[in-house]
Amino acid sequence: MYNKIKEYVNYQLRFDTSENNQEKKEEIIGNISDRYDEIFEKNHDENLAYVEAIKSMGDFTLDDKILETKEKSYKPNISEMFLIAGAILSAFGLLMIFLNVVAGAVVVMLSIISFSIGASYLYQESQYIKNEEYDIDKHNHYVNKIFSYMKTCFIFWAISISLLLTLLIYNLIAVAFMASNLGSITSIDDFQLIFFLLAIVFVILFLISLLIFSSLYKRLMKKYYLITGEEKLVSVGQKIKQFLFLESFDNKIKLIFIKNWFYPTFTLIFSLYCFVDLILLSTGTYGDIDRSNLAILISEFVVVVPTIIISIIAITGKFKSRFVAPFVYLISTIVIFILTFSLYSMAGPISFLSAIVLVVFMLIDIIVNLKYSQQKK
Amino acid sequence: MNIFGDLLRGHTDMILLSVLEKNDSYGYLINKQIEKLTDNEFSFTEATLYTSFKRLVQLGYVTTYWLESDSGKKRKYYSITSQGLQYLTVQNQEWKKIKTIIDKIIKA
Repeated sequence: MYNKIKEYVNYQLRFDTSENNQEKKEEIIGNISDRYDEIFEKNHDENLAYVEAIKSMGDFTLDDKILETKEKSYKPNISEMFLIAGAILSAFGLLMIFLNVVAGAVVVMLSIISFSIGASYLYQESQYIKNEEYDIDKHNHYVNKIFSYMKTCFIFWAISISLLLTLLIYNLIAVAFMASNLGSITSIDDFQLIFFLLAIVFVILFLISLLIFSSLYKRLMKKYYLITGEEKLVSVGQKIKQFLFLESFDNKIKLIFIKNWFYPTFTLIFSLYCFVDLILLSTGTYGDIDRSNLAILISEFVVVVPTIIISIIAITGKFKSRFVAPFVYLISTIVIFILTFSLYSMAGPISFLSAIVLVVFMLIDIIVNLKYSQQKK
Repeated sequence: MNIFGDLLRGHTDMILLSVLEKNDSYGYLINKQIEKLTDNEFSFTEATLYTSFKRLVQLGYVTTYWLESDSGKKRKYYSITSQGLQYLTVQNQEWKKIKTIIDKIIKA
């Protein structure tokens, strides 16, 4: 049992940076062990003695030398699983819509069902706790869970439902065209105009659904304030962000992003993929394309090869700024996208997408690092 | 119980120095003595005890030394200094004054 006490104390003081922390741990372990012996002598119950002895330790996080933030802890409630499943499915449903509309709609529906079950059960539980156990802290904790998951779900639902509505209207238009014997919608010459109109419909529907969701959200936030008396609510997404980047933003995490090789290496990998894909395209692997196609040749040797060279120079450290490579890559992918647009090559869209992801990632990195340096100051 | 505890915690330094005034002691034993004197109604947590002693050592009211018990356990003993004794005297006088004032108000 002495080792168990030692392990617990070491864990609780794992962030203790004070000079004499070893001496401090030794003293506390000694006192708690004495307390354990005393309680065990009375009750002869190891577990009871251990728990009671540990309780006498108190809260060391109040000590200014300890960096840990104390989290509220309650035994997990089964209905919380439905909330988590609802939030994950809401994000997953949005992705699914792009792959398969029906499957996407089903996943979004499942997400709403899962969240509703979890939320209503947890709400009932919180009411019971408030009225029967009089534990307001636990009540607020559960209500906070419901609303913070709801905040995240709402964003994905708003986007998913607007997408689904747009696609529904698109299908209705297509059916209307076919019914009026105008032929398939894809055979219409002015396809671009239809596409443009659908894009406008999407934006309008998206804004309408956002307005509906935001007004609903405001009403629910008023309800949240009435129930808990708390004005601020942090979404699950924000909590994850804080967990990853702000509260636990220690040197280890910072080093992953700040490494000089990080962005040039990814740029090199993506550029090499792009180069291979263009070679396959020029050798006719994807179909009958003229091997001496000028667009491919320009893409390969004027755009991709210089990007590869810049990436290698940046990795070796001869080129100081690690942020230049992704931007060069982004520009080159735009050029490739335009040049190979008519060749049905995947190199253009995929490399462009990867460049966007890389640049967005880098911008987040810059913002996080700036925040970190401001915090340090 | 919380208000009661908070009130006592406001006088942690005086309580700890009073216990040490009698003889040198270590964390667990100090707490046991407090429990005994208060009929098990009050005791400090390790965290409160440690931070209070840290402050008292920094102020020069208490010194520390390590001793090994018969059972082989190493214990950190606290000992009150002359400065600590002076501080305790002042604290006791102040406490008596406060007690008299509050008693007068309550009994009036």
